[in-house]
Amino acid sequence: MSTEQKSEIVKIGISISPGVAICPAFVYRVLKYQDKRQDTQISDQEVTKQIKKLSFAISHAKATINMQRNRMIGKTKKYHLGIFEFQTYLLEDSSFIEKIKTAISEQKITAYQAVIEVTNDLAQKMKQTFEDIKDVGNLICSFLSDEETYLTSIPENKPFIFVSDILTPSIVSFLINSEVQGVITELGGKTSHAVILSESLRVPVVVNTPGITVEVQNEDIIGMDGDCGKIVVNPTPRRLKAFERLQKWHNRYTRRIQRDAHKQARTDDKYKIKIWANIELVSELDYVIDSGAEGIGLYRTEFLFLENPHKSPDINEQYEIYREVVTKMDGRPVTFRILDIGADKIPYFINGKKVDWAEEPNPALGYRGVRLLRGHRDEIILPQLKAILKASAYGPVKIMLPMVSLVEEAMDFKLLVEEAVKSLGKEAPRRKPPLGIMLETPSSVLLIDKFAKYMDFFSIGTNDLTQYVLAVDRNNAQVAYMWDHYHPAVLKLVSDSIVYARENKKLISICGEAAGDPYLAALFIGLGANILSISPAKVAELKHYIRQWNQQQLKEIAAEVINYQSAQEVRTFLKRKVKVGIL
Amino acid sequence: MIKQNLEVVNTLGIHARPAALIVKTANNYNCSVFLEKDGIKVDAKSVLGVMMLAAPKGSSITAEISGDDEQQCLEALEEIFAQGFNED
Repeated sequence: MSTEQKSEIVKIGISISPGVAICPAFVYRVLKYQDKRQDTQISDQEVTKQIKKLSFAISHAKATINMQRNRMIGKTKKYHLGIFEFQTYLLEDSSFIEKIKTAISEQKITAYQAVIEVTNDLAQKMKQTFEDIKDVGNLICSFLSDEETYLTSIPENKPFIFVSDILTPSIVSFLINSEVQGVITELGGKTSHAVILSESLRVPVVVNTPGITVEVQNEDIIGMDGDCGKIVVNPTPRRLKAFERLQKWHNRYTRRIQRDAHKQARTDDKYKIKIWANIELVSELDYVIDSGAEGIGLYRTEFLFLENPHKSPDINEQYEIYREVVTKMDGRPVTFRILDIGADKIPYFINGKKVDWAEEPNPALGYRGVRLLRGHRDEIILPQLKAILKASAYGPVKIMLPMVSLVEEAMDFKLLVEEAVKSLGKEAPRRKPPLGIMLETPSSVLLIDKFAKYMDFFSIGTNDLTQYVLAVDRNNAQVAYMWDHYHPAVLKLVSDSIVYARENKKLISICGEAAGDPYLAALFIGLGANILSISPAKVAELKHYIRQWNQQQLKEIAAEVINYQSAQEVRTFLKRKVKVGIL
Repeated sequence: MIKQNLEVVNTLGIHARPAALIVKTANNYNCSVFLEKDGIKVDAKSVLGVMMLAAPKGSSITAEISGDDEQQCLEALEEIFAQGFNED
């Protein structure tokens, strides 16, 4: 061995994205521009030159941000793109540019130094946007510096783990088309914009590892475990082996669960469980199809309306989008949930018209879901129903109504669908899609046999059901601890729903977070559920667990759960009884 | 000219993204828009200005708008503030 073994460094950071990577490091210090000073005083003639140079650098920076933004489109939610808008506005802000120019002409410093001073000063004053402002500063500096261009040194055609002091939106956009295997940063938390963007890279990400950019050098081997946030730099041969085993195990695990992702999920006693996916955006469709989901159990159509608050999609735009969803799902069912707005999600314009929202003292119990739709029948619900009905010519479609508490609402819904069908005339589908309601209020569960007279199927929305049956707002920090899917009262309602739906020979599914929790999924299957609709990220994994379960055993477990009186007892019991692991 | 108090309701307050949204909204109108908080008065059409307010959740900001389309502009601002800048 010619090379000396470098000493091993172990760090534990905060895990953002899971996965295991072993790779040479590529170290990048964003803040290095800020360290390098250009202290030379400049002459009066040089001032004009430097100001010209600045304008040039700013226009290049603007173009770069625009390019970065375009690169991220479709790879992240539209909401997150807002950060690039902020940076663009900053670069267009005359008071910002004026500040830099003043620094150049009054302090007689170079444009480079002026940018550093102004952005440092601003970043200090505005802690909330510290990283975003520094990012802009570095970007401008990169066009003022004669040295290496900003981030162009990222390795090409070679896998690497990216190690940096901070993560910025522009870095993520550069990494997205590279062979990056993992990302480690010194600073950053779960809520930073760039960190949220980094999830779209689908590699392990660990943040909050102070000192790492100093301790690691380019080409140092790093082993990282994104599941627990552990990082080992220059691992000893023994540790390297351990990492390789872990990586192998992890890859085998993902491959293993992915291998059977597209096969049906049956318990070992041949009880068939359908796993569907919940989606919000059309851009998630490919992911849904890869995930192995056998249908869409909940298509939250409100995001279409919330994306642009000033203009909601008209009937034709909606039709185009719905048709794309149905066509892409290629014969697998798509459950459209009619626009569920109000409470926490409110668009202010519907079809270009402003909607007046009265201030509500208690929005969760107020004007939301189907209640609001009744008031906007002609502007919202009829056009949406027509668009869905037209799209249903391309594949199996179901239509579902949110937040129902009165039987009359289901009756009206049924009539409204008839009306929509009639008004479509020749464009009406030959087969009418099944209609259903979300079970998310206690009254809808208690009266499910009455609803069954009008509806073809039911879907339990566990999040809202938990909120309403426990009378707890999970967003209220003082009572949030009480909000728990595992509460026996919630589980009793789920159990009753399944039993009554069965008695009335109606299909019932469970959507919402609880169904994606393997322990609760096992319980629901024990209670008789056979359709679970969950996040696409969890589909393959849940199918894998189901194949190891025995429905008869789950039934016995479920029968016992009903005896418990607290969420904690249920949780402890399920964690002991339900096997969640890899085969 | 109209004056109106606006409340910051989103958890993170006015950080980069909401600031961009405020500037974008204000720039849709011809009227002048100033925001004031704790004696600091800034131009709502400048992202730097808006950031200077350093407004956390729960703070109240006075909008001072004047121009032909001041009413429409106020309504648009009220909306984005009320929906917490689409954040939470």
